[in-house]
Amino acid sequence: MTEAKVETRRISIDPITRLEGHGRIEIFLNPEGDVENAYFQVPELRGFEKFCEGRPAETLPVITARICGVCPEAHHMASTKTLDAVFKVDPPSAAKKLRELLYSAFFVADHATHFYALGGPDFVVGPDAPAAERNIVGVIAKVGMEIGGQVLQALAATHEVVAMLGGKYIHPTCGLPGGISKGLTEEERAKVEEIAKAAIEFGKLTIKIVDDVVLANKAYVDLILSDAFAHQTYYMGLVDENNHVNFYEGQLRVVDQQAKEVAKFPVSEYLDHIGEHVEPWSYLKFPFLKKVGWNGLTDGPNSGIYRVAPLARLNAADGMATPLAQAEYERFYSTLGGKPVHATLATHWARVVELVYAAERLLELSQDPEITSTDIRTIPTATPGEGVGVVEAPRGVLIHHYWADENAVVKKVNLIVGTGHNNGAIAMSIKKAAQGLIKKGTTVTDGLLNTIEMAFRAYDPCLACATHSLPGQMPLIVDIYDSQRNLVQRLRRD
Amino acid sequence: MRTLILGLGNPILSDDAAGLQAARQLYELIDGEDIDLVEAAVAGMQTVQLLSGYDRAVIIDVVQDEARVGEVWRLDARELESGSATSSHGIGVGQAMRLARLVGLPLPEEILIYAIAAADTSTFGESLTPQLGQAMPSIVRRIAADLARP
Repeated sequence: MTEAKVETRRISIDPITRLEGHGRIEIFLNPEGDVENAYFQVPELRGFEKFCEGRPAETLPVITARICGVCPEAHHMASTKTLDAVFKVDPPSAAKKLRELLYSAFFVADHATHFYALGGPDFVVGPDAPAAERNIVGVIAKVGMEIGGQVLQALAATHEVVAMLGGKYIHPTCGLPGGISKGLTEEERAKVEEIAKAAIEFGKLTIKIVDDVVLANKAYVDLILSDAFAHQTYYMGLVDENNHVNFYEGQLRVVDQQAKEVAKFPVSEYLDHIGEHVEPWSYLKFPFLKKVGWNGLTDGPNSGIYRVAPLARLNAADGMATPLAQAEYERFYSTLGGKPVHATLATHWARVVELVYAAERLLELSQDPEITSTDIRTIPTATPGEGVGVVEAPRGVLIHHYWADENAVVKKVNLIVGTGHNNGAIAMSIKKAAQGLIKKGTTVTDGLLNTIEMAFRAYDPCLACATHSLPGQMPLIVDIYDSQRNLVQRLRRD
Repeated sequence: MRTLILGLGNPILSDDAAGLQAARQLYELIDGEDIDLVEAAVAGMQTVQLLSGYDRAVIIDVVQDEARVGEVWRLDARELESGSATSSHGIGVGQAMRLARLVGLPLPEEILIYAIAAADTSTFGESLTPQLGQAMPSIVRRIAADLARP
């Protein structure tokens, strides 16, 4: 890379590797060559609200699941729970358990995919490894073929559970207001139990990889705990009555920079707690805690920026509801210097703690005597209206809010997705990592850019955009512009 | 010979549905007993799981390219395998195929990937843009003709 001859350089990473759609990181350098500012931009999908208006509310679980191909199960579940509220109906206990069972299987698959295919390459293969090796193939090459086979087997098995109940490969169609369209036979239950047991073993194996590959490497632990990757923010997560992490239901709990509870509320009150700030350079809004206020892209107790997703869920809870996950939860905090952990890159380990919890929860539910019940639907009888629903998506708190008329026709929808909640934090993380790594005169290498991307990738941001992408169409492009925005250099790594 | 026609895309994201529609029309157009049709919005490893067990796979997807709307290309699956491009929350098809071979998953002998150039894949809607809509019959005929080549 040659130095630009002008005062300001713009480094743009576009599109971000391992990210669907066309996300973009832009880094602006000042005349001294230090980082002045960094922005995270996402593409806009147009017309979703309009698309929903005028449709029967009960079609929304299928429509919202089509927003993206990344976590259709999460949108389907949030939407189904929102319909419970819209139709003022409480599903039978067995229906709730079946929904949570499907959802737990989905979490195992999604967290495993992220750990091995997306986050893993940075740690297992190494942030400075050639781009061609920083992928799941590189991970398997490093950890061994046998583990590779187990990863694929775990993914296939948990997808099978989702398809068993969801009724459709990838995009579930089972959610109904007041319940679920299909239960489990004894034969299917036994199959789920077997898959859950294998998933727990897979979770243990993954913990071992965290130990052997990440924690045993002092350079990685130092990187994880380095100041360049830390923010003192608030944290938000869904908790059960014991303040344990729950993906399917509970109250939203907010803790401060010392992990002290500052709010706990049912999602129906979200508008009292969450505000949305608008910045001219981004179409994506910046949610913040209303009671603290918006104070710009900064951390600390006076900034209403909060974080969601695995690290935040662990910080916002008092523990995990299952034994293995609880043991790992305790080890997580004792290893990383106590609670809360502010280190963004620790999110990868937090994700593994949650993977174990999801597997254990899947087993519990598969062994629940009620799980093969056929009482899985409460037929709604009340006049429909407005409703709010929430789940924890793998990428954080997912809120759906629908306004329906008395005929259940949709008038308006509002969604706050995990990546939305984290928008402010992601912007801060990129800037801080860039400031820590790019100093006056630093040669911006591929490995350096990747390290900056790691700050961003830990959040596993979902741009709710392309459902798929043709491979080969998304190389990493680094554009460098002068102050007149003339392209002076383009680097490309395919 | 068992053949899979796999259409990829989002049915409610305007031109993104073109791969799904082309797959369906191709399935109706060509004769053959051992042909299955799957329409899906998946990527990477999940795509590979769908392919497993077939002798031949025809994948139809969309690429955003406003300048060449209505054109269709055949991509070389082997070439994709050598690339490192990946997608978020999963892995690219090429990488997934490498991985599948690595761990010994049965993949089709022949994998043909067709990419249709589209104008708008970011607006929610149930119809294709007019320009692409008009080109669809010809796109499907071209894919069918390409498949019929010896």
